[in-house]
Amino acid sequence: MKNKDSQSRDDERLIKILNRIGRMYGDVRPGFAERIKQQIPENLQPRKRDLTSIKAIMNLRIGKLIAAAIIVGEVILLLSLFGGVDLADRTYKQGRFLVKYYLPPVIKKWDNLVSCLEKRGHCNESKKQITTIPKESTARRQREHKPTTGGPQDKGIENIDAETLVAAVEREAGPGRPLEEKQSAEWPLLKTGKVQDSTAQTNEQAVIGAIKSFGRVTGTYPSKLSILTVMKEFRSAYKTRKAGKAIPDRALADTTKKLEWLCEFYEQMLRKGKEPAYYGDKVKPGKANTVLMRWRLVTGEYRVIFADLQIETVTAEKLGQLEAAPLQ
Amino acid sequence: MEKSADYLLVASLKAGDEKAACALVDKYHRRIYVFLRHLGHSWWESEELTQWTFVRAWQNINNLKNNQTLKTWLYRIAQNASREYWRKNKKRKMELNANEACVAVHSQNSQGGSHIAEEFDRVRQAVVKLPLKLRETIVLHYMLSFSIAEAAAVAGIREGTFKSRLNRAIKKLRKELAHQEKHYEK
Repeated sequence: MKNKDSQSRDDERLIKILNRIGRMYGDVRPGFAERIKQQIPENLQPRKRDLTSIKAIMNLRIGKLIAAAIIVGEVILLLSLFGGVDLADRTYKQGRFLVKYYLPPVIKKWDNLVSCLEKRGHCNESKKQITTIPKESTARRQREHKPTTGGPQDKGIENIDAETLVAAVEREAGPGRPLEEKQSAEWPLLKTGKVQDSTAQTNEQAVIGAIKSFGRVTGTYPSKLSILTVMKEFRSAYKTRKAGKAIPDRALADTTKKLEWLCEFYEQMLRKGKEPAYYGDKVKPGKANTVLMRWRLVTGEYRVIFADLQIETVTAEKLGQLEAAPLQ
Repeated sequence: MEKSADYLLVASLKAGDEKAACALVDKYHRRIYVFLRHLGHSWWESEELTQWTFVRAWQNINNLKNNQTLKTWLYRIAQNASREYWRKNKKRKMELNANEACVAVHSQNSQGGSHIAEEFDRVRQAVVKLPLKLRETIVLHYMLSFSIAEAAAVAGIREGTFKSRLNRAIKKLRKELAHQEKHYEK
């Protein structure tokens, strides 16, 4: 017993000494932090989401050569599918359109698409010609729709204007889609077999939700929808908040994610040429009939989020008036 | 509160904010340096490895997962840097500047005599003599006062494994100290 007691006392003493030793070396050389700061890379830029797949491959810790081979393969595949810059615009769009219908589950939805198009009067005469395409063998499909610079074109697809088809499908899919579905479902219409008007609504609600979350902390709207600006403003506003008003970690994480999503959504619309505009720097929160954000729909009309976070679809003329109002 | 601040720091870093990179250095450079010193590196090695830790952190901030905390993640980078260093420099013995330790102890114990300083020095020498993995557990838990969960996260092992490692480390440390005492008496 005595031995045990003395041993535990020794241990306690040892731990105390270790704690004391732990407090040594508290000082660093003056100017050391500045020396580290000098090494901050100039290209400390926001992440590039386009490289996600490449990073994922690199993170697998497989051999460098295998990783390089996979990356090269991926690039070749992407180029062969979506490249074709030198090809005629029409052939390129047709090729891209067909690739999206290449997967078997998608082929099952073909009839749905045709009926949708019929209702809209895009291809009244060509149902038969379209529906025969997926039933043909894969090899034939590939051969016939391989992008060509000349030579005979497939008659079935010739009757439909590729732009019309793409536009029709985009119309069904809604003006935007949630980012989680970005990769798995290029077209929610084909994934669910239903017309997804709710998808557009979900996006709008998410945008409003993100702006609201930002406003709750900062009291204003983000001045720009670039991730760098938004995070800077959010961080500085959060810092100035009183300690008692601290946000729980989970809520903070949610808000950050929402803001990241918002910026990505805006970028996505810019890339798609949907003419988005954002006036967070000019607009005061809560002001009705003042445009905070807008983007163009496929129909040519505009979806507008006002400063009081109401949302409405307006014509181009009305939008012009609305946007001119704060300037007057 | 610290977690929330770290969360914002991470978000800003991910957004490419240069001020956040500076804030990260201001907040953690001293702690990382001390950690590396306790692992047995000389002051200039510790400075180099601290710099390297931050460069790696800036480069890989996007790899920081949501369930990881910034603090443990940074320490883990530093620990990996240290391990890599020891692997590359197997022949180099760990620096232990006894005088330096004595000076530090004397400055902290104005009333304590050289006896305390010697005891501290012996403990420190014994810690540095421990195998790397055991030394890391001692440094993280007892010297830097990390909780078991945090220290296990830094070491990249389960809590149970960490506890058993800690137990082994203490036993070995005790043995080493007893050995030193005998040697001292002779």
